[in-house]
Amino acid sequence: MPIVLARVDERLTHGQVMTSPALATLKINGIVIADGAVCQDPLTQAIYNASIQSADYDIKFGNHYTPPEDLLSFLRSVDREKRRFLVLFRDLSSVLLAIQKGVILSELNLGNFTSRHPEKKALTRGFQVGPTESEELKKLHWLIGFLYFNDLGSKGLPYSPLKHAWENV
Amino acid sequence: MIEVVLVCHEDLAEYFLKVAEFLLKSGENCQTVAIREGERPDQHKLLVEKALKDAGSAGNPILILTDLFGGTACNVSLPYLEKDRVEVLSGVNLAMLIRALTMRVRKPNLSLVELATECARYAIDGIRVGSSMLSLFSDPKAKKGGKKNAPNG
Repeated sequence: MPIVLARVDERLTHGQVMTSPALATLKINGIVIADGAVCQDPLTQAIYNASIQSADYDIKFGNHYTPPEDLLSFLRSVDREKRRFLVLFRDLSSVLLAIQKGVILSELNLGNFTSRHPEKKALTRGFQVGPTESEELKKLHWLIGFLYFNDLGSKGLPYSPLKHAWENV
Repeated sequence: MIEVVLVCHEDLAEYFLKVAEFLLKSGENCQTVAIREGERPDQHKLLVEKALKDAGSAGNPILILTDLFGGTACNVSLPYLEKDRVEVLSGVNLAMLIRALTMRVRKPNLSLVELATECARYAIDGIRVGSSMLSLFSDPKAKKGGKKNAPNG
């Protein structure tokens, strides 16, 4: 799999991602936005494409858009030797969907998410989950093995694993 | 008059406006929107929509100033672009904001895109690398190999 980094971020591409030193640290050369809504939204794609051009780091192969259920087919369609992708998912259910369709992830970065549930709990400042997301996290932890929180911050890629932090949600 | 709406991360918009008002010695008619971590994207959208609705209630065109191009504040503003009605200018700095607030009054006939272009020019013009200005401070006599002057004071 040419996935170097998989991240859940409800804002998908934004400043925190585009200015992250992790892009250079991991030599990422393409961004895959695995989101069905954006696939059907040319305006948002145009905004994301413009922003990638002004990124702090040259992302040679630019942005790609695919629904999460088609992520595996997309990854099979590219030259896997040369691609080093950052894959962005809007939510945890999209990650589960991609995995159910055959995508293999060895780790998952939990960036930004805000549950709509009234009894949501903040696992980090930017990641808030309700009961549904808590269940999804448990499944993902079982399927992937390593989940970690990280704001793609100043040190490049500082891992902050908070294993089982969601169990009390 | 062209309305100005500041859309920035966290409290940046409010502080920009506060400092601009301090420098201009006047209260300014300017909406601010804070894009905060821990809020959902649809909440950001609602905040921008409300600010645009308030700012545009008199039917005036609106200039949105945002911070980082490609950041959430900019991304959430760009879908509201509308020719001669709503313009978005990214990379806000204090010079840009002050120019927008003063020029909209001083030159009320400027179109929205003319005001945005002028603000962008002024904002970029205000960015200088200090050391590139050293030659302006150097003593021309000293440069010609004359005797060294004692420092002033």
